[in-house]
This record gives sequence, structure tokens and C-alpha cells, in this order.
Amino acid sequence: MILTSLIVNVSGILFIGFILWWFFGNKPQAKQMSGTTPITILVKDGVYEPSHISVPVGKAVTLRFIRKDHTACASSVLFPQLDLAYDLPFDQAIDIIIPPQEAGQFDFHCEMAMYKGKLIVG
Amino acid sequence: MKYAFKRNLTEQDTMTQNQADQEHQLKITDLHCASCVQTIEKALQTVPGVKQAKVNFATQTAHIEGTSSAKMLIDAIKEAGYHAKEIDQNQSADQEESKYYYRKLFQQSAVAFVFGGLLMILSYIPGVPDVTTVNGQLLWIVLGVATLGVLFYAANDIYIAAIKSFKAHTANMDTLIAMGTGVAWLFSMFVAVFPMLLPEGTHAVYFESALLIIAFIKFGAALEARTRGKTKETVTKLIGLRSKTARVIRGNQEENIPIEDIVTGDHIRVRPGEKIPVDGILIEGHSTVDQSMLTGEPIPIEKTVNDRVIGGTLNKTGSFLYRATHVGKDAVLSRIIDMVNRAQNTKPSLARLADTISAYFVPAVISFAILTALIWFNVGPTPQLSYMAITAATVLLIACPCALGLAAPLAVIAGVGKAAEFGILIRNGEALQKTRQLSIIVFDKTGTITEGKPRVTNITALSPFHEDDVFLYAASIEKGSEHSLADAVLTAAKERGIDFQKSENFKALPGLGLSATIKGKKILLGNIKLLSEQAVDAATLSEKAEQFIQQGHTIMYVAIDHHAAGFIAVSDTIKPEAKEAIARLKKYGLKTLMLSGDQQKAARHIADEVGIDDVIAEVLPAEKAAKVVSLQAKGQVVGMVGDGINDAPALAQADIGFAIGAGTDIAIESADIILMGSSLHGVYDAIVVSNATVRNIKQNLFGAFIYNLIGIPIAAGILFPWTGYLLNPMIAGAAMALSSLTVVANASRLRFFKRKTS
Repeated sequence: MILTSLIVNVSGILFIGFILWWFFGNKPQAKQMSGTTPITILVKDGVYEPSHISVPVGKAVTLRFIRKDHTACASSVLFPQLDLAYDLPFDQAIDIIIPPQEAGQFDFHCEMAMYKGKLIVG
Repeated sequence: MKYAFKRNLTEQDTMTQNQADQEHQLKITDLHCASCVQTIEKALQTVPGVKQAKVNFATQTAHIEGTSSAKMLIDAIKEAGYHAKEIDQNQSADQEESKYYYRKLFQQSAVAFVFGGLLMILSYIPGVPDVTTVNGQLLWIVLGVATLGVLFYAANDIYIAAIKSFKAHTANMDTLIAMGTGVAWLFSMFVAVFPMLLPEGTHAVYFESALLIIAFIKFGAALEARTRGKTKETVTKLIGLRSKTARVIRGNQEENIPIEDIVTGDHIRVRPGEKIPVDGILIEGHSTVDQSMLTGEPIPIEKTVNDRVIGGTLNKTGSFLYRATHVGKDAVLSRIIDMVNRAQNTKPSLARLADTISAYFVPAVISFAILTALIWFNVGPTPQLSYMAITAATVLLIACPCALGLAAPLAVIAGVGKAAEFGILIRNGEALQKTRQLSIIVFDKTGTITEGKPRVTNITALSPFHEDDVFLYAASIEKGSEHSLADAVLTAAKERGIDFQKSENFKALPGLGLSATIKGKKILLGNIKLLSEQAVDAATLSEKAEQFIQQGHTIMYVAIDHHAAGFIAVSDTIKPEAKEAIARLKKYGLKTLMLSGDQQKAARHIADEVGIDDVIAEVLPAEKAAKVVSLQAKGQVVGMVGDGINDAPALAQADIGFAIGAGTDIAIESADIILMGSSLHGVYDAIVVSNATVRNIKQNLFGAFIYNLIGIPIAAGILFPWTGYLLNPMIAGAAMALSSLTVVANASRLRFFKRKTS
């Protein structure tokens, strides 16, 4: 009985630890921008693909969003730190030009921040 | 956020730009193979006027630059064997898809509801075996598998999104729903397969709960999609203002063509009762035009030759011919739609807290659900496994980050949209939030409080000079001036048929007036400072001018060969609604101040007339921004109202800049709020809309916080030790769906907001 209790409690705590590590401690690889070709970001199945994008400092970049998801939230994308916001009509490529930025990380997300992505400059 | 002042494109600029460089985005609807790309590109390049044509296979779009019209391009694609349509970001091109999505959500909800309902009824029918019997076990295993099938039909998108976002290290609403219903289903299946492992009386299965949860959530999502569409209806309404065709005169022929094919310079005929298709300048005929849909002002405006007309407004009485000046994206209506669209997507800083919380929300809730299960395991009654599964699932299901995330955006959409209906364009969510915090409203005088059309009211001459001479010299010298008062003098001169004289050695003396030599005589025209600076004795003259100054007239003194010769009094009409509009602002508890370049007495007179508290007179245009700064330094939150042209620096400096009377020219980049009409009531209306919206956001945020703060502990079973009450996961799912729906409903209340007229 004591053993069961120990196993359940420890695995529960480990599970919590895993959840916190997975969502906050471990970040996916950022997609590197190559040359001047726009980076295409698919808005589909609850995520931005790719969600993390790395771009060089001081260069304007074009992000091409294509929404393939009907969820109401996905229908716009916001860059709060850059004060940019765009509607993403269904199944249309929308080019968003990000003006040159200094090194830093800029979030982008849908209206309710259910879809999340990061633009990493530097 | 402030925007740099940009010069509005002149008509000439726009014309050359349009002829040289037009961009078209086309959606190719049947682009199936990568090799088709070249075929289409080649076809497009043969169209006259095309400079560059690129087809993107991934996005199924074509991007074309050149002077050809969209129709020519679409025809060329058709000839090559494909189909294309123009992409217009302002059009709700995805409306069809939205409808389809909405129907699908309802269907999914209905299927889950019917199946879940049947299971629920089944569990209440006496004689239906439970999992403790062999038959019952078999029955419930089969029903469990069927449930899984229905769950996948009704909510596969939720499960896919949950898995994908988990892989991407993000978590959202879908994660919670998928985990909640997943736990409920897995536990029920466990009960059905291994009933012997659980103590007696704990053999309840929750298949129907999982289904009904999905039914509620899908139903909520369907309603939400529909209501959301309604909060955005302003844009749809604005888009609806566009006409489809126009009667264009090309050569000697009058033909009906789609408005996409109109180019700048086209001559267009508009008949009574017709919508004006694009922006332009009237060249023949006259009429009255109802501009209320854009400016919010109900009274139709007289239009005659050389007046500007705006696309989307309604021609009332006469028939006229006009020349198109702004088409497509450059047209006022398109720019309004664009601006409203952009503003609706921005967030006020008030929403930052909610955003920060929602970033941590889902992982925190998952952790809390596990913790809840552990607590039930350690200190809860038997059967622990049952309680653990149910409370964890309920916590996952009741938590609703959506309501938090929705609180601000929906209200901003509704608020910005409502304002646009009143002819008030609000730049972004932040401006919307800040407008209600204003403590003082600063008004520019000319064009804001007054009509901005000064006219000559009196000409006085001192003996031996004659009134006609005084006026002749004044008019001749003003001919070279750009001062706003010059218009008044020149208009009066034209009415009197004055024979203008040539002026030499013309000099503009900033802040003072003008000097020149006319007919060999040295002429000075300007304020009293000018005369005293030039050592002209103006004592008698200024005495005579006093009574006009008292009445708010502006005085331009004239000196001929260093002798005070006379003056011209000019006055501007106060806007009829000014007094009432200012009274409303004061009643609202705002201080009012007027900035004017006029003499102190004249300015004070106007201020008293309309009830403005304070006046700072004799301010040079360049000093207006500095005055705003000094008010801000005193802790005031300053709203500056100006007509947007010479007030740009002050508008940009103010916490909120209101550009007024911008009906035909919305390229006023320095303002935070643009009043399309010229009525001063717009300032008050904007503040009231701002207040209502911010109140709405606060209600939403409060509701969403409280809901989660109370709901989650109850779901975890906090009431159980005292009352023995445990929340059913099904109720949790319904509450969750209802909570975001409540936010949506509350925000859409703003749609019914009415402005109070006096």
C-alpha cells in the first residue's frame, strides 16, 4: 500500500514537472530564414507551422501566412510588441512585412493567444 | 503609438502612380500542377501593360504588376484554360467558408448531442445491465467504442489540434478539452473492461458525459462564430456601400463597366438616387449628396463643379459628371475599411494582463488537475481512482482560457465598429482605451470651433484714405499670401470686382503680416505688432478697431507709406453645434481650452460664445505642440482637436489627437481618432464609445477571472468535505462553453449602443 502510494505520488509530481518543462523549459527549433524568400507559415490544426522563426538583425522580412483553419481565433494574427495586426482570410496568402528590428524576441499570436509563435531576431 | 505625419498624396501624384504601377493579386482556383505555373505566367505576360507576373503554386495566387486591368488578366488566365478571381483583402472572401464552418459545427454538435442523449437515457432505463454482468460489460465496451467513433467525428479537429500544439510545445483550449474528454473516456473504458478491479458501487461510466461535453462545446463554438461575425458587421456594411458598376464615358460612348475596371481620369456619370462609384472631382452639373454613411452627418451636402465626391456615398437630387481621382485601394472608402479592419485587430494595454495569464494558463490548469487527482488519492474517500479521474477531468473541462482571451478583442471590434458607424475612426485599441482617460480637451479655433471660412465683415479707413484704396492695397498684397485670412479678402475682392495691382518687394513677416510695394507706395498689412514695430502710429486706428475685436473679429491693419490707413475686419462663423458640444464635454467633467493664432480679445470672444474655459491666444502654429507638452507636464491627459493640416504636430503630441472634418481626406496620419464629419459632437461621442467599450472589457475580464477562480476549485471538489457535492464533468463542459458565450454576448451588446443626441 505504501509502495502504491509512493508510486502514484511520485509519478504525479513527475508528470507535473514534465508538463512545466515541456511547455516552458523546452522550446522547438526555430526555422532559419534563408535569403530573401518569404517564410510561409501555415495556420492549421491549432498551430502555426513553423511557430518559431529566426531572422537576421536589421533586415525587413516577409512572413507569408496562409490560413487553412476555420477556427475563429485563427482569423487574425497579432504582433503585440510591434503593434501589427492583420486579418487572415481563409486560404489566402497574406504577406506581412516586418520592418527591420534590433535583436530580440517578438511574439505573434491569434486573437485569443491560442495559436502562438515567436519571431527571433538575431 | 504615434505616427509620423505624412503628406497626403495629391491628385496628381495618385494619377501618375496609378498609371505607372498597379498591382493585382489573383486567386487561381484550379491550379493543380506545378507545371501549370509557367503556362499561366506566360499567358499573363502576353497581356498588354503587364510588367511582371508571378504565379505561386503553394498559395495558388498570381501577383501582377503593370497597367492592365484585373478583368484583362482574368480573361487571359481563362483563355489559358484556368480560372481566377481577384483577391481583395477588404472583401470577406471567406464568407462562404465561414458559413460552411458554422453549419459543420452545428452538425457535429447535433450528432454528439443525439448520441450522448441516447446513452444518458439508456443508463436510466431499468433493466439495462451494468458493467458488473457479462452482458452489460460487452454492451458498454461496444458503446464505448462507438462513443470513440462519434467523438472522432464530432471533435477530430480538437484532438488533432491538441496533439499538434502539444508537439509544438504550446497548449490551448483544445488541449484542455482533449485531455478532459480523454480522461473521461479512458476511465469509463477501464471501468467497462476491468470492473472487478473497482469496488462495488463505483462502476459508473462517463461515455455520455464525454459526448455531451463535445456537443456543448461545438454548439458554443457555432454560436460564437455567428456572433463574432456580427461584431464585425460594420466592415461588412462598409463593404456593402461599394457599387458594382459605373457608367463611364470613354471616347463618345457611355458604357456600364465594373468598378474594378475604372482607372483614374475616367469620366463617370451619376444619376439621382445612384451610389457614387469611386472618388473624384465634379466637372459638370450639381447635386446634393448624402454622405451620412461615412461621416455620420445626416444632412446632405451640396456639390458643385470642383467639389470632391466620395465613392460609396449616395447622390440625391441632381445628375452630374465627375472625373475619377482615387480608385481601388486609394479610395476613401477602401482606406476606411482598411483602417477599421486594422484597428479592430489591435488590443488595448488593458488586455495585457489577460494575455500574460493566458500564456501560463493551460499548463497551470493541467498541473492543477494532476495535483487535484493526487489530493483525492491521498486524502479522499474510496474509490480513489474514480474520484481522481472525475475531478481531474472536471478541472480540465471547466477551465476556460478562451473567455480571458476573448474579453478585450471582441469588445474592441464592437467598439471600433460602432464608432465607425458614427463617422468616428479610431486608430487602435490603445487609443480607444486612452480616450476615456482624457482630462482636458484642447481645441484649435479655425476650422474646429469655427467653420474655417472667414469672411470680410468690415472695412474702415482713416481720413484722408478711402475705404476702396485700403481694400485695393490689402487685396493686392494678399494675392501672394497663403494665410487663411487671405482667402476671405480675396473672395471679397472678387465679389467687388477689384482690379488687382502688381506688388513688388513682397515679404512675409511671420507672426506679423506682409509688406510690399504697390504702385510705388510701401504697404504694410498685418496685426498691431507689425505697425508698432514699423513705428507707425496706430492709436486712433486701434481705438476704432476695438469694438470689432470685442465681438471676436480678427483685424488686419493697413499702413500706406508709414501712415495708419485703415483696417479690414474678418470673422469666421462659429459652428452651430459648437456650444452644445462643448457643454456636453464640460458636463462630462472635462476641462476645455482653445488655442488660437488670433488676438487675445478676439479669441476670448469666441471662447466665451461657445463656453470654453480657457484661451491661449496669439499662438504660432509651431507653438501649439509645445502648449500641449506644457499641459502634459502639469499632469493633464490631453485630447487635441484640430482640422488636421497645420495642427499635425500638436495632434501627434497630444495623448489623443482628434482630426476633425476629415470626410474627404482620411490620410491624417498624426491623429489617433479621425472624425469624418465636421461636427464637434464627434469628440463627445468618441469619449462615450471609449467609455462603454472599456467598461465592457472590464466586465468581460472580471467575469472571466471570477469564473475560473470559482469554477476550478469547485471542479476540484472543494465543496465536497462540507457538502459532499462534486461537479459533474458534463456540467463543467457546459459551463465552459457558456462562459465564452457570455463574453461574446456581452461584447456584442456594444452593437446596440446608441449615441445620445442632445
